[in-house]
Amino acid sequence: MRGPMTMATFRLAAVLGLTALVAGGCATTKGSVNQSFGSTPEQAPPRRVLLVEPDIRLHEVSAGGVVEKIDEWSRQASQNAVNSLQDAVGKQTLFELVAAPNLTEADKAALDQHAALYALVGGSAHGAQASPYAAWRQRAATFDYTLGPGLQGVAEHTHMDAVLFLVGTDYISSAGRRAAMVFGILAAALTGVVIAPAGSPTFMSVGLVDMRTGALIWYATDIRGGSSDLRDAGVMKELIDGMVQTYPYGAKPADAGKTK
Amino acid sequence: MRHASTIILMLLLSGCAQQQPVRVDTPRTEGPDKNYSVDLPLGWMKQQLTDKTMLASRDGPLLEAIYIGRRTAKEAFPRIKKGAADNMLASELAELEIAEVKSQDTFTAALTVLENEPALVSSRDAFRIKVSYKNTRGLEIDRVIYGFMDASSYYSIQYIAPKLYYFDRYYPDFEKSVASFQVVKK
Amino acid sequence: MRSGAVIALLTASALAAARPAPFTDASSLGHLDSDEQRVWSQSNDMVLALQRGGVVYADPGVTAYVQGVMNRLFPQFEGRIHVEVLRSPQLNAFALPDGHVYINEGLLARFQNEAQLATVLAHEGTHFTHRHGYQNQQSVKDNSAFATFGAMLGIPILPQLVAASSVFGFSRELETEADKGGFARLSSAGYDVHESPKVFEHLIAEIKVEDIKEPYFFASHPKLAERVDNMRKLAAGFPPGGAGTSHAAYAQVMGKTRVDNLEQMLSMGRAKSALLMLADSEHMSELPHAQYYLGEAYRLRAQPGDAQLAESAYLKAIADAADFAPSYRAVGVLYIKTQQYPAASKYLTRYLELSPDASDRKYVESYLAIARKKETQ
Repeated sequence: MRGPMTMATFRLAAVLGLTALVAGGCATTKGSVNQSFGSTPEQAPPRRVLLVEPDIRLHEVSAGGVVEKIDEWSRQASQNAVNSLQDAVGKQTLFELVAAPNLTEADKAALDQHAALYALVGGSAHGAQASPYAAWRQRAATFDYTLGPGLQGVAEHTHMDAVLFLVGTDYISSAGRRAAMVFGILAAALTGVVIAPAGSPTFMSVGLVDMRTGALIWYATDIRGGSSDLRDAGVMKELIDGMVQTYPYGAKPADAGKTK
Repeated sequence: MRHASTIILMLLLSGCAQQQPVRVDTPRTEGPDKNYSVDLPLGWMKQQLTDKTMLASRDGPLLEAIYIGRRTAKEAFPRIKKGAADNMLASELAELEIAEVKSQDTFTAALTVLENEPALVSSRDAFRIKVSYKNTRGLEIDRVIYGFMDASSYYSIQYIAPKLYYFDRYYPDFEKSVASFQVVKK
Repeated sequence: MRSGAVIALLTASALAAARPAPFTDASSLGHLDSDEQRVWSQSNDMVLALQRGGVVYADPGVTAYVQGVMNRLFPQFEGRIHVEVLRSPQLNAFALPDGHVYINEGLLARFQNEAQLATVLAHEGTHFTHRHGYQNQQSVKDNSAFATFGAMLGIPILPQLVAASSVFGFSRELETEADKGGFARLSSAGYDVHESPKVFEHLIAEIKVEDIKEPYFFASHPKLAERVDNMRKLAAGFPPGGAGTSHAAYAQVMGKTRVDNLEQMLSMGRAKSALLMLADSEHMSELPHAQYYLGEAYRLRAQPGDAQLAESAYLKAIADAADFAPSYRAVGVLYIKTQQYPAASKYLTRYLELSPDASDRKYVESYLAIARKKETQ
């Protein structure tokens, strides 16, 4: 049975709850490593890594919940990611990151196909890690995902050891949607009707695939609810730095970087 | 993460399915209502998705998946709204299954039938088809389907995987499962 | 009253939003605001997916022909309205906001002449020139916003209805504009405008035969029958005659496409649509091995009496073309089903003689084994 005091408490709780939702969510950074990689001399940590064009898609969410991919934002976020990654791996001399090397048509085609396969491999790894079922999480813990040996030719032709994939998504609320969220908070306070705004999740991942074996040797993700904005170079740097902290191999040896 | 197939994956790995996935620790598995039994690869995950469909996968259904389905003859091919009959020839069942797969979406509609031949499953006349189509990123997906009738039920045993590395990698495991499949007489 | 005033204000402001002027020629395509550029670049994802996914019909001759018709309708755009054919038997076509137009092979195969093709291309091209994709996107966003704000204000009905009508395809207003604009293009290009109502008649026939509940193609608003009437009214002011009416000329270009489409329809179990197409005596006379396909359609439809109709058609196909192997397989399998084993043996044996490398050889051999076993019992 509701009295005036209970309704006021309810409204206050609703307002506070919505405010918390809109103000920002928690971030989760996770890194996974193929533990069986590196067990033979041929499986040395990569020294020269080919950076595939990032697949980072930023969307605007309108007041009514319509989602639109925005190419210029996506390009900006991709550039932020590349810059941050170059900076992070360079400072710690983890490996040499090479973007846009000269590739033959055959090698480009092979990379395209393997990028398409990576979308499924990365999705599977992430899906298993994030599953509510223990069985899949245990499977993910045995981190032996692979793209198969089909990139050996690219490795030989380019003298590179590994390929790195950057994949990300962000949903940025439009001014109208933010207004709707504020309006919703006010409406809740006034009317007691709570309209919870949908979250604006941010997802970034980096996957390092050894081209000699196909093994996904390092996979890191950062997932955030709330109001991250990957157009912001500072936000992207924080994400990338956090993920790079999970890289397992440390600095490359001093004589690394010589052409094979 | 964004693709529709990944959404399907998340649904399968989330709480929306009928039963929880469990690891295959003993090879022999029974279907729901114990209508059939089959050997599944050890170490894979198996999950009864609905009362009609079981899934088994090692790395996740985007990478390789065995689907075992049992439907009533009347509802054998729901997308094309056709049924099966016990007196149908194997080639007729294959034709209907191909139509069913083609009707799944724009991309499967453009599939190529690579192989189509008679087979035996659990001592019953069956068909085996192999089809190929591409996903939105141009990755070729291969699919082998065995299908047969038993009394008033239509059984299908499918293997789906990207052609690039995964299909050949686990295809022998799938064929072992098919060879082990037994309809349980009641 | 207060909420009513708010509804009126919100509705009026959205629906009266300034509409962009139509594109006039290729040079006008370079002046897009940022919102419209976004809508164009979103189209690119679909274009790439369709290309990579192997769903584009790979017949350069047909593609060039269809593009040529589009260029004739919209000469000012110098080929910037780019047409592709999709491998689908459905009667459908659509335009993306960036000028990519897609038409299914099913629709191409169903037309009788170039003027009917031009009717659809003119309509879809007008969606592009009049920036309907962009307007629709903005409308969906605006109306969805209405739904959100309206719900927050506790006004449930009007905003949600407005939002719903925009989500299920272009609005009545935009479709009518495309019909009228397309019609003007058709007549300017010299096509026989009296062919245009027949396009909708094909769609109506397809919907009836496949018992489709929801309208599709560009048919959500207004209804198809209404559009036939509208087209007839528009055409009434024009004298008879015009280009693009030759059935023979169109059939010459579309011969292989019709066969491909028919085989695709049959392989997807769309027997009723196949029979509709084969009921056209012109199609039947132009189609190689038409009786074989007719037999297949009856067999797949599988209604009472269809087995006999199929048998009759197969036997006619054999009479018409004694070396066309599939007819022998078809009738042989039918005889296995009806337990006429000697006849089955005869026709299946002949099939393998004509087609020793047949991909379904193993099936046929298994059926021959059944037939021979039954014959000796």
